Amino acid sequence: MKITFFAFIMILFAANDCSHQEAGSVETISYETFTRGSSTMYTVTPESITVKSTGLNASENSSNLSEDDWNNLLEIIGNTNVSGMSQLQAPTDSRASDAALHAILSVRKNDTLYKTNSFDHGNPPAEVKPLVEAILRLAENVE
Amino acid sequence: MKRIYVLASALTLFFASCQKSSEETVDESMAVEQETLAIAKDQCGTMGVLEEKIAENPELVAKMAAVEEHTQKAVNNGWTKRLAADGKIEIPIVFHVLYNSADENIPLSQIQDQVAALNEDFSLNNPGRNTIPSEFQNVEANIGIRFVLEDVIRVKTKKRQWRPDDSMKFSSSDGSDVVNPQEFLNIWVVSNMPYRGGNILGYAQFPGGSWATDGVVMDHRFTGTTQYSTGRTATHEVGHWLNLRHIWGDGGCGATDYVADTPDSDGPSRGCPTYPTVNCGTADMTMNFMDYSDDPCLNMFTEGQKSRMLSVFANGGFRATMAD
Repeated sequence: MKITFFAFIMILFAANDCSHQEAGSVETISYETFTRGSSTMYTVTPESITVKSTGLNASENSSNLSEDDWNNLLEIIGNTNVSGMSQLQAPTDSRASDAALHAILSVRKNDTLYKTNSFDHGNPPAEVKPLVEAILRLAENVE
Repeated sequence: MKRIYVLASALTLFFASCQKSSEETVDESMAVEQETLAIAKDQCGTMGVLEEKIAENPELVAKMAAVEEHTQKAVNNGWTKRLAADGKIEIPIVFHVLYNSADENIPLSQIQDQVAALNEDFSLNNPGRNTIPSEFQNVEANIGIRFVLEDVIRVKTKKRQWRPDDSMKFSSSDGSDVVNPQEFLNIWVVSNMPYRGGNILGYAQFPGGSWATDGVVMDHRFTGTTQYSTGRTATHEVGHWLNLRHIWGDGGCGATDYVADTPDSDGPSRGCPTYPTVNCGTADMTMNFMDYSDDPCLNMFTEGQKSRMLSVFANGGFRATMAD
């Protein structure tokens, strides 16, 4: 009898895992790039991706997101230490003299906004590189 | 019954542990405020990052650290005061106009407009300075630098657009080679610089970099007076070329621009902000040339920025040869 209890509990632990539960509560993922005179905001929700640009070539476009695309993002976030994003160091500083766009990645999860410090667009901190690249890949198909 | 209790408590424990990890609060104590260069900041953070950076370009890191050390020394010892007392520093400018289509081959009048705008901004004559709020008027500075047009080099190029990668600074990559960088400010005027979904209006190189790439690069539509410009992009970039950082310190609250008399902020301004725009507990100096506001709404440098800039010309400074 006792053994059944423990077996059941252990199965429960094995079947669930915390990272998936965390990722499941992600509401939006945003990636913003900016320099003097222009900016682009990429916003991803479970339903859609929107790319909004300001400046000389202002535009706003969005397209629907498939369930697979969203789950893929959740999986990447599951492997990312979201609450530690604010501590990441930018590997390069070209944006300090305007030779690169500034970029900030943020994830809204459990009613909390987690964001990075700014880094050079095109060279994110290694820890968030998979997520940034996944967002930019999705954005390529937005028309 | 017992069985249910055991199960319930196990479940509670399990979910509580998940909750805890997802509610981890953001620790902001890492926001460091210090007076030394970003290179030093890295030493407080990940050593891995620093090592990577040094591996990438060991000489540059050392050179920039040396420039920063000299800046501290020059400011602390008052070496910049002699330069200020001597009157104006004169900087000759060589423009490299790289054009593919005829409209990119900008006229001499547009270049002269650009030189005039630089002279206004570095000698307390910005046309919008009467709009500076009284809170900031007491730190507004006359930098005392005079710019003169030395030469205009015009090069027809096959390139229709450029990247901010210094390729325009070499004739071997269809650009134009730098001229006497120890004496002249070199400004390359190019068609445009679309870059990874954005558009770079201009970029600069800080003191301490390679002489072969020393100077400023500008989009021709944002040079001098045009439908988009009154010439302040160049003022901003020349500020970088004289070692100034963005006024918000390229980071959140607490990130420093190594200047004491500019207020803390957590990001750039856009457009023409109304006063006061409060961030990090103080009104932003949105009209500072090192912010990202639109041209007509950039109106001033501060005394602290002046000391930083003049340090570059002081004895032992990276551009000391320009001031003698």
